[in-house]
Amino acid sequence: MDTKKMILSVDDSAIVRKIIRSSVEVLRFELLEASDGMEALTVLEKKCNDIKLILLDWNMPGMNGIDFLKAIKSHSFYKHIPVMMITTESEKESIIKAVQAGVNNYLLKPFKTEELTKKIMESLGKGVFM
Amino acid sequence: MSDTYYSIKKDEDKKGNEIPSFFVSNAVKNVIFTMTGLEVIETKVPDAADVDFISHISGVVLITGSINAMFSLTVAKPMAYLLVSSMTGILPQNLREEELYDGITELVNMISGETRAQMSGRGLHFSTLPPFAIIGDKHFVLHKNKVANLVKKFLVGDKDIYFKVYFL
Amino acid sequence: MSSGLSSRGFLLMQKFIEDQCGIAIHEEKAYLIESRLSRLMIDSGLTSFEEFFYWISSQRDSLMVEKIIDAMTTNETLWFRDAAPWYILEEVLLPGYIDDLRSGKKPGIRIWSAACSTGQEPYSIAMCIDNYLSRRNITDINLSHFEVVATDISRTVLDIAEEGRYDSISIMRGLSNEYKDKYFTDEGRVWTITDRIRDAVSFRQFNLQRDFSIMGGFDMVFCRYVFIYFSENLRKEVLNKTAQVLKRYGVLLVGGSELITDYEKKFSMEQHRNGVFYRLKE
Repeated sequence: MDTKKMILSVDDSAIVRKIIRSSVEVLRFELLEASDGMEALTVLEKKCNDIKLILLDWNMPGMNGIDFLKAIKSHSFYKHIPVMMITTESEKESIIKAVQAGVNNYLLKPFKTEELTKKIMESLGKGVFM
Repeated sequence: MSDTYYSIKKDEDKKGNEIPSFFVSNAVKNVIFTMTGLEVIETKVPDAADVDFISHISGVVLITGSINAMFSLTVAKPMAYLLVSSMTGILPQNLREEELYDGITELVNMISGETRAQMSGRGLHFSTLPPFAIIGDKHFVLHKNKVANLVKKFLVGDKDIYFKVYFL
Repeated sequence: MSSGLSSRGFLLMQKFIEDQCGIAIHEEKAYLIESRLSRLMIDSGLTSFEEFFYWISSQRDSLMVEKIIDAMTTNETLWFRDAAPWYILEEVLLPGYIDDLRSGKKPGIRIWSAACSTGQEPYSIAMCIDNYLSRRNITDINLSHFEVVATDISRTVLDIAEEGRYDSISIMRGLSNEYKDKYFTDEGRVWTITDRIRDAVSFRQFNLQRDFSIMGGFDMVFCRYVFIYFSENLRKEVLNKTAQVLKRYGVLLVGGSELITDYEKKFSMEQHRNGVFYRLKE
């Protein structure tokens, strides 16, 4: 039986999620989408066993990325899932805040899709093409 | 179109010195090239009204902090299709209007982020509020009887983009 | 200078990056150190760039140096970037290479794509050669007579390059429909390069600060949009090292907007159409 390989993209911009989809599909993963933290929690409840990585925006309406990150990193079902933030927040203080909240990797906007693909591979560890 | 619109200010030192003009230029060029692969060339803002440019979509973001300002990225629809198609790999004929607005909004958001990163190197910090789009043929933005403090014009292919900063 | 990156922290990191990595960071680009290296600094358990400098200086960690280089450089990832190199390859160099191969003067032609990133440049080279040969119905010479060696400092981008799979966004950037249809298979929104082209390129990890002699000799070196990052010293060093690995009359191609100074000792500059290239002097 095939193990499902899924990545969850949480970003309030549908365009950014479409760009992310391009890289995710090259790596042979299926993309799940959510436009804010609350929607992402709903997706996680249903699919947490299949989700191998979460790509997370910072500034979103409702529950922002940092609050979502803190929520899942304190939840026993979800805390093992690696999270990469994809954001315009570039200052050291922001990066420290994200790391302290439990982020595993960080990609700044703007980005090239090749850079995104590379960072996704780093976040997933080796053998991602297998 | 009113006279006020046509009194577009060019790049000046008066209030424009809070954000160095070249930070803005760098940010616009870098963001658009990185996200779309399209080369961006800065061109001269015309002295008189730019009658050939028809605005359709503006991505707008407000910044607050050591500087309070509004950034706007204004394009005509064909340019919006070009930019968003290049960003996403989706052919223009398959793009919906909402996707154009989203894409232009996202670009101005990133330009603001890039400008903020450069400003932090000078010890100046600001926050950004959620970006939004203004849509309408031949629309323009007016603040306290001024059109903008800092105006930049860019060429991508054969089409123009305007980037404006209004200090609030 | 911001509270995050003090003047002292910037100066220390600037010097370290220039000395160890050969990359020049000017003051107006100070924000890049903060945005690109904060992650590495925090991963090392530190909170200031001064601390980071002292820590990495004491470690002599070549892996960390490579991570810093990787973070501070952005490889260009367009297909057939700039028109000029491809005109130079097709109109100036390939006719000569084909003559040399036919006459037995050379058993093969070796081409190096340095800092190849995710593979667009070396695959463009292979496609250009293959397309040139097929358009002219040249059957006695084929792609197997050409060896394209592609290197990058990052193992991750090399893994991506070796797969030869490209998303619908990167496939659009610089690739004509003619080339896309001829050399890629479309699997929905993923494009895979044909085996013939992929097999023509060998990828390996390599740091341009190292000795080039282990790479062997080359007829042509693409080192494009790399010099822009280098300090003056490293530019001279890479130029000299390239001269040492180029075969007789070998050619160096750099980025369209890059200016190479001090080339006259080892190279002569030639022009073709609106492009320039540097040929090794005898």
